[in-house]
Order: sequence, then C-alpha cells, then structure tokens
Amino acid sequence: MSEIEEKIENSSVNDDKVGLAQENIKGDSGLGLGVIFFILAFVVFFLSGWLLFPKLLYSKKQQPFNFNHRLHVQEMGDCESCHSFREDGSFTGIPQIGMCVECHEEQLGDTKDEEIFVTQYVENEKEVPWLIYSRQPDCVFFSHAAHVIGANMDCKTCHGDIGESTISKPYEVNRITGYSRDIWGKNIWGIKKHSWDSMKMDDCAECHLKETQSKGACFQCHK
Amino acid sequence: MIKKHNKAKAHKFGMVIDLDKCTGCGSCMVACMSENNVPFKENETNKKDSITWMHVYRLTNGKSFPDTEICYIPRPCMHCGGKGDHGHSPCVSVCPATATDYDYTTGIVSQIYTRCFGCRYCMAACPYHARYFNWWDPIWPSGMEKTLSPDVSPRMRGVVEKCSFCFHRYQAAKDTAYFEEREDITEDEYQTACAQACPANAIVFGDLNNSEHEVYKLVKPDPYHGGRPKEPKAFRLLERLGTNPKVYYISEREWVRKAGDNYVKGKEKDHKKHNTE
Amino acid sequence: MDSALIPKEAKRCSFPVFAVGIAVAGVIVLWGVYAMGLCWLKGLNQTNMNDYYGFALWIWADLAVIAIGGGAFFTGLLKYVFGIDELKNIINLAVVIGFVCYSSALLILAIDIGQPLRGWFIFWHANVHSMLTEVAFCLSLYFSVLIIEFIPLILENRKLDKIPFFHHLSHNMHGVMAVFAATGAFLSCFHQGSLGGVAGVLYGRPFAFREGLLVWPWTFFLFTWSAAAYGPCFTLTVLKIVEKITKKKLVKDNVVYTLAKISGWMITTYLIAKIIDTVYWALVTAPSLGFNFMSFYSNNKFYGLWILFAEIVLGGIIPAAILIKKDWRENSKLLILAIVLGTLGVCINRWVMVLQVMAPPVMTFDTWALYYPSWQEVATTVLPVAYGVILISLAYRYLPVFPQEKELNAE
Repeated sequence: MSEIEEKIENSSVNDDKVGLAQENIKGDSGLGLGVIFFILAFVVFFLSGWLLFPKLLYSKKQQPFNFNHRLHVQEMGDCESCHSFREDGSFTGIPQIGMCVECHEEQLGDTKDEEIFVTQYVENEKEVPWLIYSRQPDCVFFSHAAHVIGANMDCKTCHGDIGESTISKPYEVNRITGYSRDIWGKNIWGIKKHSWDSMKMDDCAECHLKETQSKGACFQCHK
Repeated sequence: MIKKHNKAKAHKFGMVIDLDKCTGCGSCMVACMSENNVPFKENETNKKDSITWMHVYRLTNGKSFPDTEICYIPRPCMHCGGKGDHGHSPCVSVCPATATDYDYTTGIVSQIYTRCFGCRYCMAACPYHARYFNWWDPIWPSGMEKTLSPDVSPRMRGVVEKCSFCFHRYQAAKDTAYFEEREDITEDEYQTACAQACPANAIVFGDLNNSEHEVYKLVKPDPYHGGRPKEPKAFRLLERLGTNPKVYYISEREWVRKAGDNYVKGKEKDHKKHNTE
Repeated sequence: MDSALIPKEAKRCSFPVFAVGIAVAGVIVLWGVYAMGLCWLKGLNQTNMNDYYGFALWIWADLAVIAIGGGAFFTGLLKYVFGIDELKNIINLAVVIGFVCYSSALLILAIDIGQPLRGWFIFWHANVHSMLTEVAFCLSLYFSVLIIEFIPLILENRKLDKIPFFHHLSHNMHGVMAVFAATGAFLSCFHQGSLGGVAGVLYGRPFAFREGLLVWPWTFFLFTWSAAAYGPCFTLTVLKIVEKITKKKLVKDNVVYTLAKISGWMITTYLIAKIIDTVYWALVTAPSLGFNFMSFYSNNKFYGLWILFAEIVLGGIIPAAILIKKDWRENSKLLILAIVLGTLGVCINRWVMVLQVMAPPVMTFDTWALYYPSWQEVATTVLPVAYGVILISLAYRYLPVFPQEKELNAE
C-alpha cells in the first residue's frame, strides 16, 4: 500500500502533480523515456543476474595440487584401477594415499604437482584433503554398486569427462548451502546438455523414471 | 540389466516381537539410539519430549499381589500398510510436503528430514506415538560427533523423525549383493540393530512376503486381510483401526494379547482395561 | 490532528485518546511479537507442546479465527450472490474482520512449523492427498481475495479518494466485487472444509475420525456449514462491541436482525447435522474401532461430558433458539447473549476437533495427554486479538466502514 502511495507521490512531485497513469497517456516524450528506462533497467538486472549473481553465490577454492586424470588413465588403463569397490560392495571413492604410494613412493616425473604430493603428503604420510566435486549433501545415499555393477552404467554418464582432464579445475562451493557447484551444474538456470551436467535429485529422478519406470521411493536415495 | 533388478519380487519387511521373552532390559532402545544417531537431552526427565524410535512400554494385568503380572512391549515404528494395505499409512497420507512415503518394494515408511518442515500433522495421525519431533538442535557431548554413524544423517531442529527399520542396513546389504552379482539379499544380511541387540532373542526381523523367513513362519500373515496374523498367539497393536502394521507381537498370555486392542464393553467377553503404571 | 483523514461529518474521539488506546493494544502486540521471535529464533521448545501433544493452543486459535472470520465469505455470498442488499451496511465490517482473522491465521501457521524457512514446501512439494495442503492453498488464495475485497474500502479514505486514479479504481473494483465474493465463497467452502478434514481423516485417532463422502469426511462439511452459520455471530458481536465503545449506533436494527435470523437458521440446520454426526460416531464409528463413547469423556482431569454440553447446548441450541424466534432476537440483551454464545460455541467446537483429539489415549496401555500452554504460546495467541483491535480501530476511524453511520447519528 505504502509503496504505491510513495510512487504516486514521487511521480506527482516530478511531473507537476500529474498521476503516473495519466502521464503515460499524455506525452510521447514521457513514454519514450519510460521505454528507455525499462530497457536499461532490464539490461542491468539481466546482466547482474547472469554474470554477477553466480560470482556472489559461489566461492572458489583450489585443490591442494593439480591431478592429471588423463595421464593416470593412460598408465592404469581404466577408472576402476583406482576408484574401486570394497568387498562388501561399498565404493572407495577417491583413493587413500596408501594406494597412490604403490607407484609414487618416490617422485616419478618432474612436475611441480607431483613434487607437492610426494614431499608434503607421501613423506609425511598425510591424506590429501581433496575437495570432492560430486559430493552429495549429507542426506543422500548413493550406491555405486547398484549403478556400476547392477545397471552396468559407465562413469561418464554422471561424472562426465573428468577422466580426460589434465589439471584440477577450481572447486566452487555454494555459499548458502555449502554444496559443490557440480551438484546444481554450471548453468545457473539449471539447463543441461549432457547427462553429467548436474547431479540434483531431479536429475536422478529423470533417469530413474526413464530406466525403471519409477522415480523410486524416498529412501532409495535418502538417508 | 536395470530392469532385472527392479523386477525382483517386492519385499515386505516386518518384525515379530515375542513378549513372553522380552525382559524389558532396554537393549533395543540403546542399540537403536546409537545406530541411528538419535539425539538426546542433557536432562531426560520429561519423557514426552525425548526421542526414542524404539520405546519399551510396561503394562500390568491390573491384578493385585500375588496375581500381578507384568509385560513389556517394545514399540518401533509399525510401518503401517494403511487401510487396505495399499500404503496409505495414517502418517503418509497426511504429510503435506511428501516428506514421508511408503516404499512399495520394501513396505517401509520413510521419513525425509530435509523435506519435513515440522507441521507435526503426522504425529497427530499416528496412534502409536512412533513419531518424534526435534524440539531442539542435537547437542553431542564433545568428541561424540566422531562416533556418529555416517550411514544415517543427523537431524536438525524442527523436523519429525522415527524408526526406519534401519534402512541403511538394507542399502548396505544390497550393495554387497550387487557386488557379488546376486539377485537378492539373504535373511541374515539385513537385520535391524534392535533385533541384533536383543539378548533374549525376542525380536525377529525379516521379509513377511517370504515364507522361508522366520517372521513369516512365526505369524503366518494373511495377505487377504492386510497381513493379519493367522497364528492365534500373534497379534498387532490396534488391529481394529485398520492401520495394518508390520510389527507383530506374540504372547501365550491372553491378557497381553487383549491389551493390544480396544474392546467395547459387553461386545467382547473378558474385557479388561490394562494400564501402565 | 488527523481530521483530514477522518470521513466527512463523522465524529471520532480526539487523536490523543485514540493514540493511547492504540498504544495499549500495541504493547500487547509487541509482547506477542517478542514471543513469536522467540519461537522463530529458539524453536518450538519455547512451547509446552510435546511428542504426545503436537498441536498447540495457537492451532486452536488458528481454526477458531478462521471459523469466526467465516462471516466475511458468508455475508459476501448473501449480499452479492443471493442479493440480500441490506447487508451492504455490514459487509465492510465483515470484510475487515475476515482480513484480520485470515492474516492472523496465516501468521500463526508460519509460527507453528518447526522449520519456517521451509514453509514453501507445502506449495512446492505438495502432497495432494493431504488435507493440510488443501488448507494452505485455499487459505492463501482466499486471503488474496480478501485483500481485493479490502482495497476498495481503503481507497474510500477521504484523502485517498481525492486521487482520481484511486477513486476510479475503487469504483471499478466495487463493480466486479460479485465475482470476487463468489470466488471467495467457493474457496472458503474448501478451506473451511479441509480444516475440518484435517481431524476427520485421522483414522488412527478414533476420537476425530469420521466416515464421509468420497475423500471428504463428514467434518469437512460440518466445518464449512458451521463457519457460515457462526461467522455472522462474531461479525455481530464485533459490531456490538464497536457500538458500545463508540457509544453510537452504526448499523440499523433491521440489518442486524436479518443477519441474525439467517445465522439462527444456519445454526439450527448445522446442529441437526452435527447431532446426527455425533450420535452416529458415538454409536457406530467409535465402537467399531473398539471405543466406548464414554471412554473419551472419563478417566481424566479435564475432558468430561460438560464440553459436549457446552458445545452443543450452550453454544448451539440456545443461540439458535434465540436467533430464530423473532421476539427473542429483537430483544437486545437476548441477542447479545445469543451472538456471544454462538461465537463461543464454534470456538469450543474447534477446540474439540483439534486439541481434544490429542488428549485421549489410543493404545490400551497409553495414558491421557493433557497440556497447558506456555506464556509464549499465550502471547502469540493473544497477538492476533490485539492486532485485530488495532486494525478494526484504524478502519473505523479513517474509513467509511459503516454506510449508515451518518444517517443514524445525524443531529
């Protein structure tokens, strides 16, 4: 209510006590000015929403050091060599340092990144505090066994081309929720081109509906 | 491949509790709390706002010495099939935000803490008082966060929680089955924490749809009557309401079986009110 | 001081006197807001609710204000749809009261939920089988209708009316008000009904459970009917209070009697349905679930047959009898007795259908759950009352709420 009043008051002050509604009808110059103002405001808000908002929403963090996935896949042959299952069917996720040491007890190459790894972590027997791009919220249960073994899916369907990467991209975290940007996806509107572009509940449900004719019950993915 | 796994016969997980074996020791309550990261208060004097997914009630036959008898009734969530056993559990049907649902492949009633906004309508709907509200944020004694189970997400203030039949254990068992490329899990692979903790072996857990399972053999559920037990010594709590619970009780004692439901005077012989003390 | 805002030729108390009155109510509002803040910041542990008693005093207040606010939709329906034109002299008051009641109800719902920031889940992740979902949707929609009904009245303020745009807007809105009145009545049928359904569908709670028609338990229809029947009682009660305070006659007797008579017949028909429902529930529904009728009214310290008597006889039969008999309703003392008893009657009904539902044990080895509210709950429940006093005072002072005021108070 008060807002409307205020608007009216302002406009009547500016335009010599003529109401806003009447003013638009009265003069072409006023209309033109209004259109320009509208377009200008639209552009400002659109651009800030498109460009500035994501910057404000996400903060960036660097990984402890770069990891060359492409090189490792070439050397090891496949993803499963490092990202494996335990005997009870649970998934190991990112390997712990014990597995890396099998090769990297000493520096094998001459990259700066490997040097950091060997000197700071291997020699100190310290786990690497990796930031996990695909880390789901605490309330989510995800079974790699069901998807990889049960449904024969490949890693790429959800994780995309990470196996091709030569450096580690910055880890972006949502300042409000604390979740990785890879969950919502790079596109701020949530539009996706590939199956791996985002990892939200709707993305899971979409595939489940297609493949199993049911989105599944809540507990299938929540804990 | 995907289809094969989803075509597996629907489970209907349930529990049978032998009340003649139960000593009321409370192990099931303790095991449940530590398994499921159940929060607690510094002072638990007021039991009506404490959270106990598994709660042991005490009842007596109301007779004076020397005829007094006591019975303990452990009460988890009943995972009701609801009227007609179609999954319209009293709580599931009322939740406005779909924070609780009925899983037709397991018969388990879920509770999703991040979806719940705390209207407590489900608590009003549940005649068993199996649902609990988080009146406070959980406060763990320092260092205890490290002992919490990573398989169960801790809850925040202002949401409802309840027994899940240790669903995370079912998930873990299924993972193993997938890894070993088996079609299905075995009876002993999925057992709730309370069933395993009971020193008197009073709690039995399994698939009510599987005639090989102990729970089936003990109560012989009647699929044409929402799983009503055909075994005369078995009963369910508040059978008449039509909630169709998946938790069954067994007792040789008639007064204990009578205490499971309400009877209108005159319509049922030997009707007695049994009260807790 | 504020005379420019006061309707022409209307006498109002001096501004300082008015300000003192508003300040008193304002203090109560602040107290309520403080309690509300505590509930939001510290959580619902500020209340005396517990796991046995998950519905608080304010949920009763929520249902009660929606019931007594029913005067707005019902009077609107009578005037705009059934064409009882004389009711135009009281419709403004009914709309203001409705606005107060419904805005309070929405505020209470926002305090009541454990995670207020997730309140929008009820719309976004709606479970269409839940009565509460229906309540939320219809309540919000009807509240927007009430805003639309309230705006023209606000625009009739002397100062605002001078602005041509507002003058025309208000005029045009009046023109299409019948559409909104009809929409409001339609929405009200569903949200009043779904509030009744909230308790009626609880088949795990034999005290509340009712059979019904398709997906709607009988309480669904009873709630709609009772809100329409008793709502005007509250409208008239407020009118009498305003007349008492302002020492003025504001609405002509024939208007009051018309509304009172309609209310009387509505209450009578409602009571017939309510009594049939209660008897059927006591003799058929409850016993089929294993419960004696008396088991709900004995073995506890508070709930006895008195509450049934208070609801049906004191709050039902007596006001209905007074209001339908011409001599009685035209006796000013009896009329006031009837409308006050009627208002209390419907409030008791809402208490029974929400708070008493929580009390009786269902499992044989369980105990009665009795509950008394904490001061935070009392304060948040009183908050809407004080807020209503302020809003109605403001409306009376600055808006032409009563079209007959000038004529009745001409010197």
